[in-house]
Amino acid sequence: MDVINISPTVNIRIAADYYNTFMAQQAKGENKKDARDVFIYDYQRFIWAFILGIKSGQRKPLVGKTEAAFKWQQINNRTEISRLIIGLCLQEKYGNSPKLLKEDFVKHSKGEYNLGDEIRVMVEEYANKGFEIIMNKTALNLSYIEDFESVVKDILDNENI
Amino acid sequence: MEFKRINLKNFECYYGEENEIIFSPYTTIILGQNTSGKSKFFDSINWVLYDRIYNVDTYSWMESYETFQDILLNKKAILEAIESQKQTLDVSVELEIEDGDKTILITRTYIYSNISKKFKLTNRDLAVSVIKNGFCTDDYSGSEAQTYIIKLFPSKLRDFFLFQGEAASSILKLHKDSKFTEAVKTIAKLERFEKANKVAEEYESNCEAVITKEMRKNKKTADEQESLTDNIEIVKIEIENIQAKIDSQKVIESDTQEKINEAEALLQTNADFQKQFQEREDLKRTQFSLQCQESLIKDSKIELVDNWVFYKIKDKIESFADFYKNLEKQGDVPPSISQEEVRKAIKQCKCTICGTSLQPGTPARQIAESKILACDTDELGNQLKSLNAQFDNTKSDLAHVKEKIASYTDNKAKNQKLRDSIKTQLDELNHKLDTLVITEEQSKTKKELEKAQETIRVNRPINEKAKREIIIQENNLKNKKALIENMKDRLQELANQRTADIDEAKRIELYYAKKLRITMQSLSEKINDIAYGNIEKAANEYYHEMTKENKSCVGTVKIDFKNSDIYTVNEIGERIQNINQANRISIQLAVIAGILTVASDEFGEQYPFVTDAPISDLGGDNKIPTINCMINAFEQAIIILKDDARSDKKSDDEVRKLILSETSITKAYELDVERNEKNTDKQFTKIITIKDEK
Repeated sequence: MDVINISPTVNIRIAADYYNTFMAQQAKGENKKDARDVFIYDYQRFIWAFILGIKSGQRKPLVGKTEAAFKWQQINNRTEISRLIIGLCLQEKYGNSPKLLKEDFVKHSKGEYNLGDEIRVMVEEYANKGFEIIMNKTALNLSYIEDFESVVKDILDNENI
Repeated sequence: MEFKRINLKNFECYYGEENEIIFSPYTTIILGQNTSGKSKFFDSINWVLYDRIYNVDTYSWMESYETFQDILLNKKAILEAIESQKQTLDVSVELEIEDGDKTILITRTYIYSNISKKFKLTNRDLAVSVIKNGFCTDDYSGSEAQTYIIKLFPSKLRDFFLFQGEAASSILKLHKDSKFTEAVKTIAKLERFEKANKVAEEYESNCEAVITKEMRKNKKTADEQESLTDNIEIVKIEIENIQAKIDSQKVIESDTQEKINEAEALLQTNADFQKQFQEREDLKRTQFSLQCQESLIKDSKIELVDNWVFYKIKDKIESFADFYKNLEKQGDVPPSISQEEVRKAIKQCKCTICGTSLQPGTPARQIAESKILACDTDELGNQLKSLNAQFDNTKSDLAHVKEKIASYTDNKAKNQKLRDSIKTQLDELNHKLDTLVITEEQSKTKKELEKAQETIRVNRPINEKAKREIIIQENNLKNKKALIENMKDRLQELANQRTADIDEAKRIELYYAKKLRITMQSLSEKINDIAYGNIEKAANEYYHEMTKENKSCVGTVKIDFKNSDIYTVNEIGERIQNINQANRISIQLAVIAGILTVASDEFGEQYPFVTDAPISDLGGDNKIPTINCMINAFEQAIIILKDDARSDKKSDDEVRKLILSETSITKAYELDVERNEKNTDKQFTKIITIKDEK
């Protein structure tokens, strides 16, 4: 097991608003998978939100009501994705101060500090920011999240958020 | 036929070339003492005619020349020939016979050659000359000559007309194939009747065989008819069974066909509904198929949302490598020297990289120990290495994202089109299905239709099987019927054949063949009876003549075929037992006389009668009557008798008296032995003429 890890059993939380809009949406009545065209699973939507968030370089703390979207295990089972997410967070945190990583690690090792939790919070906050961005995009394009062309266009545009 | 003359040359006791006896056409008497040559004279006649000599020791005939060749040649002639060194010596007998206007001269010759002072037989010859009107008309020699002789004097009669008294009892046996029966057969030409009888029997047998064969064939025919009749009955039963099968299958066919027809009618009247229903079912199947196709399209998005989304932060992915380097350089994570290596060096008190001593207390040691951290930076370093490697891979993948997305987009577009198409079809289907809503009534009809379909499904194979079975059985029926017709035709054919087979002509032929056989048999028996009856009658005449002066000879001669015997019977037919020798000889002579008489009188075959000696044994009262009987019985009799007369009282001899008195005895001779020579071999027989009348 990696020394910096997020517990698989921990719930990944999302602001309730965003949850209701992007997770619970199209999930009632018919089969969720059938209703969604691009990001079929909640974790996929979350990852896209995280990517948009980390692209923006901004974190948005979770305040107010949150919802448990899924357990980290869903992402953790996809090793490549979980490594990328953790790596990106470390890069964001220690990119400018690489020495701090060792120090924080020592503290983490001593139990003074939980680096895994720190990473998890970063992930949630970046995703939170990402959901905000998605929300804005949705305001312009209601079906943005399930608009394949929009999403693809967005993916390929790595200049802008 | 009549013997005229005989001449013996060096034959047995007859020496020289001239030993001639002229025969009387009636009776010739030849008298002689014992060993005077009587039997030898008798032998000469047998020898010239049949090349045989009588063996007085064995009482039998020597038929093979080898058995008697050495005794034939006169001994005196041999002696003289040896003395004079003569190389060859002949024995011959010449017999002259008169047969009507022909004179037949028979000459048999044995030629002996001097081989080491012994004369051995080297050649044999037989010649027959037939002379007519003084000219030789035919000449025969060898086997031809013998054949000619046999024709004149059948072998089967020789023992009767050349009667050797010693052999009387043997020739008077009556069993089948005995000399007596064979002789009678020859005399009466019974052979011809026998042959004719046999031919008739064979002919009848052949006719019977032909008919029997036809009858047998008819039996075969009858058997075949019976067999055919049985078979026809069997086939009739088979036909009934086949018909029953056909009927049964026809019922099944009819029943199932009715059901099928009803079901089809129902389906037909609801054809539209059925069509509609079927269409609905087809649509549903298509719908399902489309939905399956659509579900297959959806699963291919996973790579987009799991991997390609990171293209958005491609720069951050690419910059991680630098971050990692900084961590190494500045962050000391992963550390340049792993914690493990430090611990190992400290333990070893020596740097494992540079070899610096790390003895305790040394500055190097202190530095080393300061590097030991409480936390496991090695593991952190490993994790960071893994992260770096992952980022490196992702960076490589992201280099192709644009192409992949383009390709994916195209496929997606295609899939969408396909999806849209499917959707359109589905919509249409659904629309159609909506229009094909089944009402309750229709639902009921639908059940009936389903039932009808089931009925068809179940009954059609049964119906088709029944139809096939009917075809097969009808074919069988046809074959069986044809078979019966063939058998009936054959029956008729056989019936016609039977009646035609034994045709009337054959029956008539058999009838007359039987008649012919019966007639021939009857004729043969009659001739046989005549022959024997006449012989018996003649024999009795002679017997009574011979024995009239002998009161002890009584009875009648009986030729008894049943018991194969010849004897005398009394007035009431009882056999007279214990007859004496004289009577026995009389009976024998009487029967012989009877045979030859019948041969002459009834069948025109006349033979000279030559007899040697038995009369001599008659003695007493039988002798002269028997001689007289012989004289009377035979046209020509040559009687060779023992001369009982004493030399000094020859004139008192009864036989001599008879010779002189009896006119039919025109020739008589006495045989005497020339005993001048002391050497008995040189003694020979002389022929002395007692009476010579013409």
